Amino acid sequence: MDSVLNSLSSLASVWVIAAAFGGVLWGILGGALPGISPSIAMALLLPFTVGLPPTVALVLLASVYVGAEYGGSIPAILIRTPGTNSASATVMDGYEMAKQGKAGEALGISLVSGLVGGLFGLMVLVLATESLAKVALAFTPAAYFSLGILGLSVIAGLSGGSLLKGLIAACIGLMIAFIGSDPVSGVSRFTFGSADLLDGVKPIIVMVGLFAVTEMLVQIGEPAWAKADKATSRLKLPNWAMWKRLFRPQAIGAAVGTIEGVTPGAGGTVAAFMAYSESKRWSKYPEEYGHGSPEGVAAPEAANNVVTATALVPLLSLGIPGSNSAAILMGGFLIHGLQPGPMLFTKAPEVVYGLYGGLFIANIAMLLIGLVILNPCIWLVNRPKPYLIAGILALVMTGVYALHQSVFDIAMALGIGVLGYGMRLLRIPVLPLVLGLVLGYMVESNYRRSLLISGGDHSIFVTDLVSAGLLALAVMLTVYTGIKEFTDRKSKA
Amino acid sequence: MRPHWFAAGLLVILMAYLLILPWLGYIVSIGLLSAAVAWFSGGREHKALLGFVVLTGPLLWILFDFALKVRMPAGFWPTLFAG
Repeated sequence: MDSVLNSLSSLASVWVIAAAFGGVLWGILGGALPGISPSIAMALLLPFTVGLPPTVALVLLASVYVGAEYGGSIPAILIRTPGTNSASATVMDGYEMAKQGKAGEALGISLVSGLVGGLFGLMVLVLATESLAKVALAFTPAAYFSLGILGLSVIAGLSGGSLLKGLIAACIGLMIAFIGSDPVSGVSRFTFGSADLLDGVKPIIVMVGLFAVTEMLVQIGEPAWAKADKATSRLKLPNWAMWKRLFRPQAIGAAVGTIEGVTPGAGGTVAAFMAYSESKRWSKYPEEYGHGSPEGVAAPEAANNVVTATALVPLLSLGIPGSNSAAILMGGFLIHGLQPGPMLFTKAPEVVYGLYGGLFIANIAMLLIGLVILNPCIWLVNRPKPYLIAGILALVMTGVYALHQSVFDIAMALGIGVLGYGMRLLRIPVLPLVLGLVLGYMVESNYRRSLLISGGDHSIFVTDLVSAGLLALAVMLTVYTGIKEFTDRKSKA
Repeated sequence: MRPHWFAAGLLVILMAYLLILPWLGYIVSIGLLSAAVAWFSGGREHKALLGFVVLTGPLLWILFDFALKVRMPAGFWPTLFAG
């Protein structure tokens, strides 16, 4: 209850409100552009957050995520091209509704279902995060090390079907994390004599390179997307009868989104497809699915908006980012010298509660902006793709330079972008790399600290009960995923 | 194979931007980058291309250098005009 009251105080801040509205607006526009995922839209804004107060910066980034999930459904419904991955499930019935002349109705259902999902997810976030973080407050450095290892073991679930590829990506992330001065002795590592590398590679550069630059390298070779028709697209909110019909799929979407959101690696796309499938199973009209069912739009849209909040549960409570967007948000925390995890509630509670309040405003902003943004989105989607790519790249190059006024940073972002392109070609997932990068420091520093405490005795990691439990959990998770991958391959063969 | 050539071409343009940025300064370099990327990815309408280029550099400069007080590279222009 205290956290709810504390969150409400942020509603009085003009800058938080402005950040929430601005972030949602940017997110909807970004999400409406096919190829610009929520994480890319967030990564593009990341350099701009450097000079902002932490709460405003984080609300801005989190609001982009909220807005992008609705924005993604606009081209999914209008031109059968999902603006975001998680809007893929919305295409099935949303586009069918558009073909039947009900595009406005589908967009209205998407908007209100997103609002319902977003507010439900926020409630789960507020209730679950602090309780989890309180447990984690009793952690010793050994337990923190093991928590990092548990976070890295999540890689098994993020590897998209290949544990080996996930591990390769994580190793690359760890290698990048170790570049720079040693945190204890100060010795230079992997800097190759370059003074620019002494401070290490900043996660923000890696994220912008990996998400934004890579996506532009991919998009430039892709064909142009279809044009949206303005004349047949007018937003229409559901009436009472439709609300009653949408209650069940929205509830299913909320439940599925909660489970998938707090599970690192699952994310909005899995949640949306699962919610679609489950709502069809429990629907009174399953035969309408795939032929323009309003429920087929409501369930996935509610689910992927729940995830915008619940994906933050492992990040805020344990410091483990379970999705690309959560990783970018973690980058936002790191830029401001804040380490997400249990200590965050002690060191910067105002930031956490401000973020909660900001997310509430962001959901309201999504409804208000969503009501008026349709025409600008259609205009944007219909712009020639070459100018969009050129504009985005100009913004990325400028934003990266602005971080430290360094041309070296631009070169680094380009190099990372090429790395990301290569990884995409080889179907190596990028999220384990980000996880390795952001957890690398936590693992290393707490490993060294634990050994200093124990006088070099490694048994501290198993004699500390919390540490031992977390390590056991990490082993179980890795073994389970390994067995699952083996049996899946066997059944496919 | 074609998409990879496009990606490689874009990379060459971006590397060229890296090289010219310290010499030509931000406004000119970002304008040239925008023009090259738009043209390379299929934007061939001269008027639209020109309008886009003329707007991009100054707009971004106003946002970053003027509003956010981030000093962008000035290039050799100041020395030229300093006489």
